[in-house]
Amino acid sequence: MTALSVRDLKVHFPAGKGKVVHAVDGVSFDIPEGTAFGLVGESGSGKTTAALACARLVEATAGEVRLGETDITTLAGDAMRRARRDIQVVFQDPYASLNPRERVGAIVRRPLDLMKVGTPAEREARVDELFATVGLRPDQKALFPHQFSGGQRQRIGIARALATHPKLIVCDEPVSALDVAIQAQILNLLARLKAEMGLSYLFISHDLAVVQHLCDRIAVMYLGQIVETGSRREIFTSPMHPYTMALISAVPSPETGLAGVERIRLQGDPPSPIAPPPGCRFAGRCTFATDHCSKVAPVLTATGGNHAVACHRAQDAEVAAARNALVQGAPSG
Amino acid sequence: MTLVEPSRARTAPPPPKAVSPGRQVWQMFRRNHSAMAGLFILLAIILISLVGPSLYTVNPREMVWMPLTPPGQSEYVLGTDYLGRDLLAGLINGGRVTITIGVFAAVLTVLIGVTVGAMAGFFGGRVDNLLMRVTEFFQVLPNLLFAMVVVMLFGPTLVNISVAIGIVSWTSTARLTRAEFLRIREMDYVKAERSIGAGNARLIWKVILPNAAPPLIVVAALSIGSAILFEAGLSFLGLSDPNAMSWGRMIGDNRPYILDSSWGVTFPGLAIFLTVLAISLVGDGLNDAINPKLRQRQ
Amino acid sequence: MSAPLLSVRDLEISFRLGTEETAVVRDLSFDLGEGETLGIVGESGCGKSITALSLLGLVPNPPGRVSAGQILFQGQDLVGASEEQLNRIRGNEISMVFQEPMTSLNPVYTVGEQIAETARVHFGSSRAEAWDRAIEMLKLVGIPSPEQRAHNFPHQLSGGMRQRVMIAIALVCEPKILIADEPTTALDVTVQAQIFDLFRELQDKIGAAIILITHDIGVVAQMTNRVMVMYAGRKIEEGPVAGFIRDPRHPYTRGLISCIPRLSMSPSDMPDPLFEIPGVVPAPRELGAPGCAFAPRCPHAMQRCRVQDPALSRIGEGRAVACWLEEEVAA
Repeated sequence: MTALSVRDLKVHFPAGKGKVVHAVDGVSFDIPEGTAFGLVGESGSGKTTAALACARLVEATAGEVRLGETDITTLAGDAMRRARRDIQVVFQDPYASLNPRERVGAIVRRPLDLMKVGTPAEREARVDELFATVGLRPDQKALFPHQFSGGQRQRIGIARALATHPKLIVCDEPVSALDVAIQAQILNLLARLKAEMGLSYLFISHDLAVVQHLCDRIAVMYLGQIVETGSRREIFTSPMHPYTMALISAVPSPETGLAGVERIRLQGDPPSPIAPPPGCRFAGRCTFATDHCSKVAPVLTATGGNHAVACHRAQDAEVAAARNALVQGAPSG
Repeated sequence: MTLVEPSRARTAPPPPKAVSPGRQVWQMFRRNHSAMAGLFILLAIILISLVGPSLYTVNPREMVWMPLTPPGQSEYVLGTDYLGRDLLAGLINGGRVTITIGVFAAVLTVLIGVTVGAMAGFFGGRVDNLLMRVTEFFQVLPNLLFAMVVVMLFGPTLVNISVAIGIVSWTSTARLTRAEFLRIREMDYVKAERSIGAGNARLIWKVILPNAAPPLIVVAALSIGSAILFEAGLSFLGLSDPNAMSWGRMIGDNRPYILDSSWGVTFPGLAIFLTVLAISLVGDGLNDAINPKLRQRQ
Repeated sequence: MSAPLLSVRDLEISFRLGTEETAVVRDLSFDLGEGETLGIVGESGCGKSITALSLLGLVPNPPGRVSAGQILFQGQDLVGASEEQLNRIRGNEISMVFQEPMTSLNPVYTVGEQIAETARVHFGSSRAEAWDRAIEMLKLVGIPSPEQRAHNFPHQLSGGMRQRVMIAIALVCEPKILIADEPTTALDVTVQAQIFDLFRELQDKIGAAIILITHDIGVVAQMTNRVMVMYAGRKIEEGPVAGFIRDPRHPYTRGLISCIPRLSMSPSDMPDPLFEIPGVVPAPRELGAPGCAFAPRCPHAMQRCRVQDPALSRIGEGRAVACWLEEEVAA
């Protein structure tokens, strides 16, 4: 069963003077039930916009987002409200995602109130249960958000997302605003909930290590498009796209840092999403780019298993050599 | 090595009590001496206006003594006006009308301003454009002139005066509300509410407005003060309800005799000054009490 | 070894919270040699950022103040120094790069003007000279077509470029010490890599010592020579970076290093749960309590840990750790 199926999703924003920002430009992926799907990319890659479009918090310009059997991009009113029971969001900034004027118990109960789930007594019991699930004490329900630490607030945000028994949770950088020691607590909580409840995640992050830890499948985004997708093992044992390789190589890890492993260096900044270049969008920063790359846009092509890459040169010897150097240079773990 | 016996030091702190944002503001406010002084003055004025007339029963509209008697020269301690009416009775009875007009006009200001600002800020785009043009139209109208026209057209009743003041004063509230809505509607907790199925009405009134409220409360408090001043201005120009005694009207009535009896305008003037000052102190105190909270939230 | 460039001795920084004054940094001593890179690691609230500010005399006062100790820069104590003396040192000798490049640049001036202004104030050079110097600095920090970019306002630049501009401003007076407080936390990894390359190149060229404040152990491993771990306002471990990563001694340091997910090139299908440090850092109000501040979160806490704060003890090759477990081992 597929929890979420996204087909050719596009999100364009007007940028004034008739210009258009191509924030998400033709993204497709499937999330099998009970798995975590990671969207990785740097700022401006469109990963957060894509995720918010999947939760209908941003309107899609074109494409389909199927939650189970229904395409939610066309739902309205009550039908959309019912669909929202199945897809919930955990936000990045735990200081901004909780209404400072509401008690946390009410915040967690709110989805149940709005969607009219159960009797008031049942809702209250469910809130107690949710507090226990995410590692908070029910006696903390009467407190206000500002009385909690960042990690605790993120637990409250997770409890709120769990309230309606959703099938899929969109996690938008859920640990990037937290201290390292607290990140581990939240990541373990998310992993535990996934295993215990059979949840599916659409997990957005810029941190490859975090995505690798939590996600079964991963897609790498660059300037509104997926450039490579595959299982956790496929992406990291044989990264195919030069951008994926550069991303992996840029992550400072304790071991490679000490060993002084040579990195793949990227030059310059990504091009503007207002007028994306005609060929491969990464060509301008890619060390392997040829004339062909800057003229013809590569399409995402399967290379076996779940692995697919959008690169003209992925199979060339030069790229393969860089790949081998990267995979072997890094310590195995 | 297995000493996990709880010692007196480094034990888990007791579970904290709920500290509501509102109570924090009050605690901050209470520490502000000038704001508390303002609050006491204001409460005293309100108390006198409410119960004063039943304790000091002289009719403020009746001639009780020689006209233009200076203070301290008769049983009417503050003296009399040009018709021989008791000034003290006027002050005690006028407070009720003045404050009522102030509060009513301020409520109207806030109602119009917040509604316009909330709609403009929340919906943005064309709605915002239209509402902001309307706001600008009202902003460039000469306030006093427009209010005078309204009062003259519809007659100088208490309601009309309050409405006239409300209509000319809401624009800055609308702008402030719009700015707050623009800021808050982008916060993640608003997105979070949307993702759990909250509709626009709930988002506007139950989610964004309470968070936009702190600066609006300050503005609302201060606008009572400006409405009182505005009413005084209109009365000074002769536009007051002939059936109601207000401080502004007392000044207006006694204006022609200012050279013979300065007390006729001084005492109601002082009353207005004291009230507006007290409101300003409370408003500033609220502002100071609310702001650290805002900074902390960022 | 010659006298260190910077020597901090028994530093204590206190903040007034309500009616009480609490020391948020205590008994902090460390040295920084010429051309060295020192990493300061810790969670938010451990005192690392306020320590950095104190080196520039920028502790917000009130409510804070340096309540004890010395900060010796080339033998001169900065703690008692006048504002005038500090101004001569700030920017000239010690400069700082902050985490958020957007809020640290003045939005109403072009980036060229901001760099040139710094150069003019510190060197007393003419406008034309200062402008040339600004262009030169932009080139040095790797901004393409610096002549045009100098005329841009901060909002016209990307995050990475703004951080480069901040670094250009920090380096324009060729300081002896550069303090970087989480300089890349707001940036993407590939940009972070570029910024660190730049730091290393500049260190080679100018020979500045760097104090790098970060929470990222990977960054520490890559960039620094020596590391100091802070917890609840105290230094709890210090040593050369390799030993710190391979053989962390304090339970907190061990926790910090093992709680981060590691990027692996041969990941398993079912990753093990991450190591967790339970609980949270103590609140400022709890700092005064006796005993080791980490004891409530420590898996090895003993009775002694809860009543007596361990002192920093040497454990060889420039390493030191503040933990009673070390004494247990030694005994």
